[in-house]
Amino acid sequence: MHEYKILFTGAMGAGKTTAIAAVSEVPPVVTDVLNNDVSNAKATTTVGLDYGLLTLEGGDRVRLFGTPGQARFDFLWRILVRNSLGLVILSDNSQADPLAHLEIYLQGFRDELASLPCVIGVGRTEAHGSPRLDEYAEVLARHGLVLPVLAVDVRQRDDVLLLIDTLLAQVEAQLEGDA
Amino acid sequence: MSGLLRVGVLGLAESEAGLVRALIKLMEQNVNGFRWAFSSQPPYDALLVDGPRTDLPQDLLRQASRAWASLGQPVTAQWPGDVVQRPINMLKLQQWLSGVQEALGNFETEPMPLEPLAPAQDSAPSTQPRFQLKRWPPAELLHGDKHRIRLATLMSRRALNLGELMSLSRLPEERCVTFLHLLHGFDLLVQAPSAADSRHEQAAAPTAPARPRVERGLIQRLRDRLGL
Repeated sequence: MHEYKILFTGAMGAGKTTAIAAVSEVPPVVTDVLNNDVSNAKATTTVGLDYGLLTLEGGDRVRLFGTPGQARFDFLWRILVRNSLGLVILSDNSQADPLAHLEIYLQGFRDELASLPCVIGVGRTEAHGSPRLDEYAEVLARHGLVLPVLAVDVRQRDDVLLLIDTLLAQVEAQLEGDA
Repeated sequence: MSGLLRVGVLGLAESEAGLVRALIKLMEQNVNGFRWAFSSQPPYDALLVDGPRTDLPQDLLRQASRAWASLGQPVTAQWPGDVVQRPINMLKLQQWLSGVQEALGNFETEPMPLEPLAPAQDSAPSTQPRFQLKRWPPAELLHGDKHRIRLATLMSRRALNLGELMSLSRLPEERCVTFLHLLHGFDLLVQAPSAADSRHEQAAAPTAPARPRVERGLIQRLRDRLGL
């Protein structure tokens, strides 16, 4: 039996816990505590990590991990991302400066992003059209990265599936190149 | 009549210019008797300008092209050219260019080399050019279409030729070729170096962090599990 993992990261409130809950076969284990960050209205925040699970035919497992969003937990990011299948970076377009948050994650995972499949999921774009998805692509281009940028609502299972499917397409392209 | 006629744009937003270029490419491939090719520099045989832009130099426009059309509205009240209404589409563009072609009558121009974007179907896969995305496409090009997102995702990861793109995406040739032309129209593609150069670059590249060993069946089993 083999075990794999997919990592979800992003700022507080971007929807990591919700995204994992949308696809996990078990209720995700959530290590939330009361949020004492007055700059964010969210009642709780993840200070350990979220955990979800998918069991495949044959017994292999894919574990879904959600990282804590604050940059002070970046030591956890680097541990969790090791040997992962891919990374989903979730962004909340209703926040004050979502592109600055993206920069934090691009910097935090910069070594891994040289080869790790990754997709950017941007939430709340219907009510908050700025920054545009093209501006996210521009930030990525400045980091020398070409990564999918998709508008999503992580409360919708189909949107979370699109994010995962996009990761899998990148893995397939890599396998083709390694063949 | 020999050679190709040159059509260009001036003053259009990047996305609109890319759309015009892509439509010209599509008509080149699919419309019988279509004798136009997109050109990025003068002289032109036809020039499409942004109608509301009154700062465009009228004298230079006349020198740069033999025919003109303004997009959306006439550039001036005395505008001598045609007007093509927004939103631009293939039919409007074809109608305008067909009219210009007829008005120009018999002519001789130097043949323009067509860029080999999608090779002949009987060429060996190993000789087909490979293309990779320069940056993620704009949202108005993808339209949230899951097939386009998949094609763009594959090409974001590595350079692929048409055969590889069809195989990985499991999409028909026509859809892949159309999307390649659209990406080309938006100047989003870069042609990969030869296989020999790629091997040299890969040997010289710094070692990336280790990835998990993934067997091909895993992807399909994960897709089956999720109902993808």
